[in-house]
Amino acid sequence: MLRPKVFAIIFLCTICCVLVKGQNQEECELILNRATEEFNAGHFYGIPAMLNDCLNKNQRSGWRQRAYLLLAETYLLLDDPFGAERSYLEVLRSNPEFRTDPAIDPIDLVYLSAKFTATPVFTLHGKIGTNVSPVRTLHMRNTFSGITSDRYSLRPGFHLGGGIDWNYDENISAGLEINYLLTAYRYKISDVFGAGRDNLLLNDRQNWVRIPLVIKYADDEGKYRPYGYLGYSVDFMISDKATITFTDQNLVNGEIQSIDEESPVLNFKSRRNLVNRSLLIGGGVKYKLGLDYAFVDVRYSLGLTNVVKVNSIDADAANEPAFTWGYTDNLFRLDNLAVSVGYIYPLYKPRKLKKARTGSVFRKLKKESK
Amino acid sequence: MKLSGINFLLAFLLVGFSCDSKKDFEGDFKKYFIKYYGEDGTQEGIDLIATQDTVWLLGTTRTDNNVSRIMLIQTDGEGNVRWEKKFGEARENARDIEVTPAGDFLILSNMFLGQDIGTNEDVYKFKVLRVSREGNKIDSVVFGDVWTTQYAHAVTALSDGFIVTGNTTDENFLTDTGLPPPDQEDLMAVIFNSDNTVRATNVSTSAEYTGAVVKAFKKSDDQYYLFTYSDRITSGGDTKYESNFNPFVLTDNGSLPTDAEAAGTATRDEILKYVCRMPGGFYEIGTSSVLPQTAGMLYYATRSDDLSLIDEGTIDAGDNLVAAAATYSSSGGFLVVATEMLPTGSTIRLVKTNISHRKEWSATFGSTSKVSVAGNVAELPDGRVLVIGTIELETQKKIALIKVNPVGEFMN
Repeated sequence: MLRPKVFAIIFLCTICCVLVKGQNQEECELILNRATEEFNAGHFYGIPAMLNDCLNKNQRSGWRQRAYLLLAETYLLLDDPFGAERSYLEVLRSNPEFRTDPAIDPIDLVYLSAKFTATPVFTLHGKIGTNVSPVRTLHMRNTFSGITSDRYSLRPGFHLGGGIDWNYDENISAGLEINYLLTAYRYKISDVFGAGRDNLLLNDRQNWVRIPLVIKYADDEGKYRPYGYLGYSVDFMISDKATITFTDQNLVNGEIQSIDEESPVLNFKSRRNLVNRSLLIGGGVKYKLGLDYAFVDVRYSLGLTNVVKVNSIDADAANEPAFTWGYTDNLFRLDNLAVSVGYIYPLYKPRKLKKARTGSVFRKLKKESK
Repeated sequence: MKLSGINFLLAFLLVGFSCDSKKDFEGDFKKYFIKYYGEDGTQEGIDLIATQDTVWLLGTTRTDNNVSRIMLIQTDGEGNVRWEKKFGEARENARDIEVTPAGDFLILSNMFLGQDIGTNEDVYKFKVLRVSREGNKIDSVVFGDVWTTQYAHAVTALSDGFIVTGNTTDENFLTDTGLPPPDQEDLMAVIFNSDNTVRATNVSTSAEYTGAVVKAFKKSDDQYYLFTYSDRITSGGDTKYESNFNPFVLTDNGSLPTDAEAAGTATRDEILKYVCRMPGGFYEIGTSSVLPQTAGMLYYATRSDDLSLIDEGTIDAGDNLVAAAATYSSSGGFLVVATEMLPTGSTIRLVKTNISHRKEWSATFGSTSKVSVAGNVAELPDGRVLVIGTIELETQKKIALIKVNPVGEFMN
């Protein structure tokens, strides 16, 4: 019986808080309107005191932006540059993407804004996606003599990861990521022991931890912001598991008879070079979602290193594939084409610039005056 | 020396952005490999002749309806097939290949005729096929009467013909005394002239339940060494009918004037499998077991050029082996290839011994759950080792050619 009462009390308290806050916000909206009227009437001195109470309360960011902007303008007119700077910094804290508009904002506010930036120094992102891994053969190492044909084909993989970007400016950044990848490929050898006879089919799956370092260039305006990058990654293979299916086809009494045998899951990790390197090229589009972004990314990783150990036949292994299935790896590099979707969370940092960019404002104004 | 920042960066760029290319691996991995050869059905690897850049593989192919034929394959030094040829009739089993002084090949095969209803024994005759190095047939000769067995083990090329050695159940050949246990296999040697006519024949005059002439070597213009195993009572205090290595001297007219000191134990059967030359003499390799158990320890004997026994004993390589072949190693000692019998199958075992016949290293080839059988072994001038055998893959048996480094590994 006690529990419904507790829920009822909590519910009523919540309703009360919401109502009180809503009332406060309405009151502060009225105060801000009155302060704006005072500003327009040229009564500047009372404005900071009028807004002070509301500013100490937890107001919405939109209200705080307008209030601090009004305060910044007021302090500029009161010839209090420190107060103006403090207020403008609060404007950027309320809305890191606020930009003054020289067409409508007072010129002294535009100049003031040029001393500040809220560009994020660091940006976090996470992503998830699918990938395929083209194999680039360095050397064939077929155990089957005679003329055989072989073909690698793509198998879908999966990846997820995250990273941090250090933003040199609004356009250029350097990023460090850590990604987990499941990659896969398929390899088929046909015409083994005669044309149209036996086939060997290998399905190989690898798990990787990939650590890329990239240099990005991104557009910094608009709802859709394209970007591109180049990079380099160190790839650590965690596991490599494969299965082999052998189709043995023989002519018996004038007819081809087929026997299919599939191997258990074979551990190929000991046959692989576990540390590999890649060059990356990629790009995508960021879509603005409030202060954050969603993005779609396409990346091609060009494998630089031979993935396969040259000495990969283990004669002492009980089920060495070269002896059981007649399979030995070619030497190859593994590329990767990845398509990802993700979310970017910029860590905005409003701050005063060491060197104000007032020159650009001046040039802009000059251009507009012409 | 401490690297400056720029040097470090340059070193990082050089190493980090370097790309593995085809050239980086050119040749390395090709120096060792395993290759399978065959077609439909089962193919068995029997013997090989190797030079540094060419290998001839002799095998038997068994295809539809149990048709078995001789298969001769020429490969390059990397095991790639240059050509592949088949010879013979429907039931031939390749046994040995030898180079003639003229540079051609003599291929020995046993031709299966059927089973003797009286003894349940398989009945064979043998064939010697002369082919060119390009695999073109020159001529051939078949030896043996229907329903008596002439089972050949080896052919030895001579300047004026060749000798085929093995065993026979042909009592018309030369009737022996039939001492117990029942006479089954008499030692056999047949000398052929260059035109394939028979010059002389010989079989042992004492009874062998088991025995065969495994290999012949020319001693002089009119004499040959016959390396045999036999369970007959030999000279020198032998009292039991168990097999020993028992070489003879054979004259050109077919008589057996002398035999040499036998090698082997008094309580076990030493079955000779292969004989090769070594500096200053001969090296015999076989299996020491108690019949009917065919697997046992590797047993060796070394003899001087006049067949005097120098040394004999077992090789510490295991006790479930069936010897197949051996060759003298340029690094000293011998390379021995054997079939290792396992509870679930068999593998090929390559053993390197030192000159004191102690094992230096060994390597195993083949799946432990399948049946793989050793054929022969050869050492290349650069010290790499070639092994031919039969390896059973998951679904089929194929001729296998294995090339490893001088210590039996698939690496440089």
